[in-house]
Amino acid sequence: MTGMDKFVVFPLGKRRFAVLATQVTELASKGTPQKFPHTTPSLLGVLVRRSAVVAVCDVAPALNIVTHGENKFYLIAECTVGGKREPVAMPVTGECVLAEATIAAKEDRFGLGVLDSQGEQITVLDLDALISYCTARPPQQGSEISR
Amino acid sequence: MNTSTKVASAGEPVILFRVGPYKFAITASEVHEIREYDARWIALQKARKEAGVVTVHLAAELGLDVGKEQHILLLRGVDVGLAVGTVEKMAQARKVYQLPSAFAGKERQWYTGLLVLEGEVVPLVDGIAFAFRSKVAVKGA
Repeated sequence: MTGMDKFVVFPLGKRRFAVLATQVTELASKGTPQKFPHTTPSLLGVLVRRSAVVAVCDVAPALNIVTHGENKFYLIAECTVGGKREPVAMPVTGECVLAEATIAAKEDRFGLGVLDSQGEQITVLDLDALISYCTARPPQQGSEISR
Repeated sequence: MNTSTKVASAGEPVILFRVGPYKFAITASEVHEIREYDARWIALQKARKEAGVVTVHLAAELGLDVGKEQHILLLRGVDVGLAVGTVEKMAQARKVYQLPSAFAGKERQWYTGLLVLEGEVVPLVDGIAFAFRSKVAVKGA
């Protein structure tokens, strides 16, 4: 990436993160994910959006964020998961804003870099890496999500 | 969005049933007979060993609480029955959605896809996969 890029900046707990705007397909208001038995970690269920079934992935623990369940929206973004491009919904804790900025390189496990927003350093997430990490950890025995 | 990829043709009849708090579906063509759950019948079948019907407790396979089975779905073409909660009704699968790729665990073996029935997401159980695993487990025991 060179020059100015557009990002969607979203709050998660007490921090803000950003993703490339080109990856974002929708910001959905809070609904309850529909659940069924499965063994993939971090997945809270699925949402039905525009006649599509979208997995809901809680990325907060992987980012060391505590949200206390105050999720208000789902940011739906295209990710490459298991070699396939598909939308994944992530619970976020507030409204998103569009930002145009230049990304600066920074070593980060799930970051493509950082952008500066009025002095705040916001990590631009590498969603492919983050979602893959969240869903690939070895499942614990009997970890079917039935919350 | 690409996850809405249809993976099977529409219109196939399915049987809706519950296991614990969850609703599931199985294609009607996979089911030969629906029996009332009867522990004595299961024991009798077990005593017949290779000649008997192997009962798979779907709740246990899915990591759910066992003990509230009310029906057994006898699968067509194999000597395997799936013990489930309540069989609810028949429905028609208008679309079968692929399980999103983010689901990477055992559920990829459990389900052949997802149905959306009256806004509710219902996993489509792969009866033959459960049957195959149970027969292998029994024969290997």
